[in-house]
This record gives sequence, C-alpha cells and structure tokens, in this order.
Amino acid sequence: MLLHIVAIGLISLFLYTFFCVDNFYKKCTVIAEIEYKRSQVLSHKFLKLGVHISRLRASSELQIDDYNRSMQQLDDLVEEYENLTVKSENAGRAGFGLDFLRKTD
Amino acid sequence: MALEHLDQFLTVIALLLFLVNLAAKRLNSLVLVCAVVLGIQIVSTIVRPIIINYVSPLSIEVGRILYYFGFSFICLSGVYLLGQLHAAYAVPISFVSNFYARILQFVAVLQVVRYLDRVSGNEYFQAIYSHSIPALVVATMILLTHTTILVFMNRRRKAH
Repeated sequence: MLLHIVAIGLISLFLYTFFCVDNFYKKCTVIAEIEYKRSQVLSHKFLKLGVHISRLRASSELQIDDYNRSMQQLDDLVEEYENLTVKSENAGRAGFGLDFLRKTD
Repeated sequence: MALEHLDQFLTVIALLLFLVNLAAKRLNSLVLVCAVVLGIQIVSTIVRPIIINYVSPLSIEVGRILYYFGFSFICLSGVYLLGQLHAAYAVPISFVSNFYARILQFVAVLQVVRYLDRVSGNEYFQAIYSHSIPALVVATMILLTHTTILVFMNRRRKAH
C-alpha cells in the first residue's frame, strides 16, 4: 500500500518535472535563437557601416557631418557588441569552466 | 550479446568525440551534447549495478521503483543540463541537441510506462522497451559520429 502511494507520488512528480523541463528547454531554444540572431544583426550592421565609412573616406569631398555621425554610430555599435560579448562571457563564467575553448574560437 | 555492450560502446564513442572536439578547440552544440551523453552514460553505469546488486535483493519492489524512476529522472536531468549548458555559453541549439533532447524525453516516458506495465503484470511493453532503447543508442552513436565528420569536413572546406 505504502509503495503504491510512493509510486503514485513519483508518477505525479515525474509528470510535473517532465513538463517543467520541456518548457525550460523550449525557452532555452528561443533565448539561444534570439542571442544568435542579435549577433548576426550586429555583424550585418558593422559590415554596412564599415562600407559606408570607407566610401566616405574614399570620396573626394569628405562630408564631415556624415563622417562624424557614422563614427559615432560605429562607437555605439562597438559598445553594444562588447556588452553582448561581456554578457556571454559572464554567463560562461557562471557555467562549467569550459571558457578556455571560447578564447580561440 | 552485442546489445549488452552497446551502452559501453556509446560511452567510448561519446568520450572519443568529446576529446576530438575539445582538441579542435571549438565550443559548439555538438561538444555540449557529447558532454551530456557522457555524463548520463557514466551515471547510468554507476547506478545500474548498485540497484541490481544491492537494492533489488533487499526489496524487489523498491528496486523496481528506483530503477525505472531513477533512470527516468536521469534522462530529464540530461535535458535540463543540455538547455542549461546552451544558455550558459550562449550557443545556438542545433538539430543534434534537439534530437538528443527528444530521445531523452521519450526514454523518460518509456521508463515510467514500463514500470506501470510491470506492476500491472501485463508485460505489453517488454518488446518495445528491450528493442527501442538499443535502437535509440545506435541512433545517437550514428548521429554524433556523422555530425562530427560533417563539422570537420566543413571546416576543411572553409580552410581551402
């Protein structure tokens, strides 16, 4: 009788854990996708801005306002990118000590 | 006979692939999956003989509960760890990790269903249990090996 009660309790606990773990895993999938897409978007912005700045530099008439604005945007982007990297690194540090792998990546 | 050694074989393959990926110094989803497979295999290898040799002779009922629910919770812990590792290193979850997480969830459900099956004395799921788990072990081995080969081939192609 006691074993049956224990078994029913364990089955309930199993069902609860199963759905909790499933939700957690789905949430992780979404977060990882968002982080990945954010880094992709940032790389794309870097590329676009880099091309724009090199065009401005190459042009015979340097438009100083546009150039300054672009450089400011570049600084902002670098800051945003560094924040993202620091966030990932901190998350990694709180993790399981495999950080040395990321340094050469 | 060969089916009995499949678990050890998977442990060796997971260890080898983990070391190969570590040596290549690349942190991707495959490395994390290999680490989780290895962890689950090591825990299973330690826990299984303890339950069979020490707990079951004392009480078959308690041994049965510990065996089926224990393995089911090990599998769910694997899914949790997989998600946690991906989130901690901000690594995108790949097809391999999704596939392995679903395998673990299926095995966790199967363990509980098999427990109910044994308690009820019907043994409907005996064939499914004894054949599906080795089949999933083989599928995991093929998946890990194939993905590692693909990753290395892609890297070589990019290097050229």
